[in-house]
Amino acid sequence: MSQSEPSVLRVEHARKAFGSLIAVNDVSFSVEQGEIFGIAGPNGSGKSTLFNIISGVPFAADAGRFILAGQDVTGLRAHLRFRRGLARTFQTETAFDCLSVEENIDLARVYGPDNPEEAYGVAEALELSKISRHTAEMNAGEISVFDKKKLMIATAVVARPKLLMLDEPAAGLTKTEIDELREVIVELNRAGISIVLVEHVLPLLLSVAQRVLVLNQGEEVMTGPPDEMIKDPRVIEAYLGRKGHDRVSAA
Amino acid sequence: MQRRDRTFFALMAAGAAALALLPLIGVDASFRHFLILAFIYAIVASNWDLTLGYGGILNFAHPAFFELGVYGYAIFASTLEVEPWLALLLAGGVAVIAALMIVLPVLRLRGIYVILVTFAFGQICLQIVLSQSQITGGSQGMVLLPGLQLGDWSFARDGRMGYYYATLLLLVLSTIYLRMVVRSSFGRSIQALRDNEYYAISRGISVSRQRILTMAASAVFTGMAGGMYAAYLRVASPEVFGLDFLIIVLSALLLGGTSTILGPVMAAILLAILSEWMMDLGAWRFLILSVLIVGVLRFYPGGLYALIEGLAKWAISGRAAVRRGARSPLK
Repeated sequence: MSQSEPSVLRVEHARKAFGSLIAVNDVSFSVEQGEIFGIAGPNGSGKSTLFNIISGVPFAADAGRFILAGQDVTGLRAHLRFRRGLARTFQTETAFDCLSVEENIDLARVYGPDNPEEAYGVAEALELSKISRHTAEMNAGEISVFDKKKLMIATAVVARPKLLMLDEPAAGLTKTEIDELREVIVELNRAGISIVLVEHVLPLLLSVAQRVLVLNQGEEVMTGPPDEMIKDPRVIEAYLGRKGHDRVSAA
Repeated sequence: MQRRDRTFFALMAAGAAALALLPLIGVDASFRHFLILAFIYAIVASNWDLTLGYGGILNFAHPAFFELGVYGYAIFASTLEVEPWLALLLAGGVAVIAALMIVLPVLRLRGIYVILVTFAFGQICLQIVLSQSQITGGSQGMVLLPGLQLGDWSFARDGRMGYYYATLLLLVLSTIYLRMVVRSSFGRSIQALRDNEYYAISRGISVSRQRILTMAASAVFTGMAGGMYAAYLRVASPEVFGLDFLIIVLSALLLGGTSTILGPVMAAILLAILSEWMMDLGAWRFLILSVLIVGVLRFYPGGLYALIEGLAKWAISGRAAVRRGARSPLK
């Protein structure tokens, strides 16, 4: 990595506990410029918590440092992290239902980057997220689940973020919709946006991510390319348990 | 201008024109008096809509902004002998300062705790008014306040005609202001926070900043309405802190429909007209009004505005159905 181009995100020793439960325990990783970085792990492994503490929504980390493109954003409030270029989506599709689709995107543009000239226009964000003109004019409360998911991506993308964090975007989608979503993710990445993707739908994750971090019980199991990940015995054990691992090895 | 904006301003202009023509066709002075008060209540209720409806902030300090506007006008115009028109504007300023004071302790509170703290704020204001009698007149209040006039013409002349039009103008200005606020990106951001706070934060919207601005924005015309009330009645009395006022304004807001602006305005005027009509019924009047409010909210939780919207949609789709019906036999 050259001095002039720091990692787009560096997470150092992140930690978050809820009472005696340590949801994220001393996790460190970095995402390089232009990369699609996957985060995987079984249910309850701490993926979403890690997402939450990086974005600051809805809660901050107990410890650790977060450096966004060379800038320390650890102490920054959540809405300012978005303005600095760290945008996230949520697992459950969410929109400002009282506003139209275009107004949803425009709102994120207005409250987006500190320098408004850095933002995309609403039309560009619609195009990048593959939302039709017809849908754009509708009320956000009236559109389909898939369109709401794309709208959530559009409101993040309009700010032209340095890093886009997608939290299980494929949950609840059909195969055709997942294929379209894959295209959206790949094109956003081609447009120069680095992406962190948390995903349960492994075929999607493995087909787009260049590297994957696997978590289990709040701790890092491994980080590496997808083909290494699926062969890693520690990963198989995390997903399937000890017996599952033995059975896979025997086969 | 978008279609829904055109509908809003057309409705508002029609209503304002009808109300402006009303005195010319001859209504008696007592009815006019009721309407003047209704306009003031309409301003207070519709501005409350900004925090309670659009902002989703359970702010019960709003009546206090009005009451502080009343006393603000009284102290500026009477004690400090400031020009009454300027005192009217300053009454708005007093309310904004009060809003900024109360918003700080509620910035990090949610739900019921916001109600508790903001409600207590009104009570604190009342206690201050009662205890600082050398400034506020205590329980006696302040009387013979200077009224409004243009040149030598007092607004109280010709059956208070000046106050009728001045209050109506204030209501129109307040309504335009509210509409502009809620349609601006600031207005959209507070609705976004109400609809989904975490999502709004994750799109760059600051909860604290928007809450402060929402409270301040809701106080501007509310305080001026208080000033107008004091100028019109020429009295500032602690009675305005009573539950009666809160109930009238809250009824107008809920009956009219939250997050609509025009709803509370229409409801405040309707409530005034109905109570005038039912004057002879004595205490029955309140009973009938209460049943009416419960009835409307039972069947139309969105209030009168939703009822009117529903009727308009029904009329439009009914006409469309008639047109479709007329064409189909030809095919």
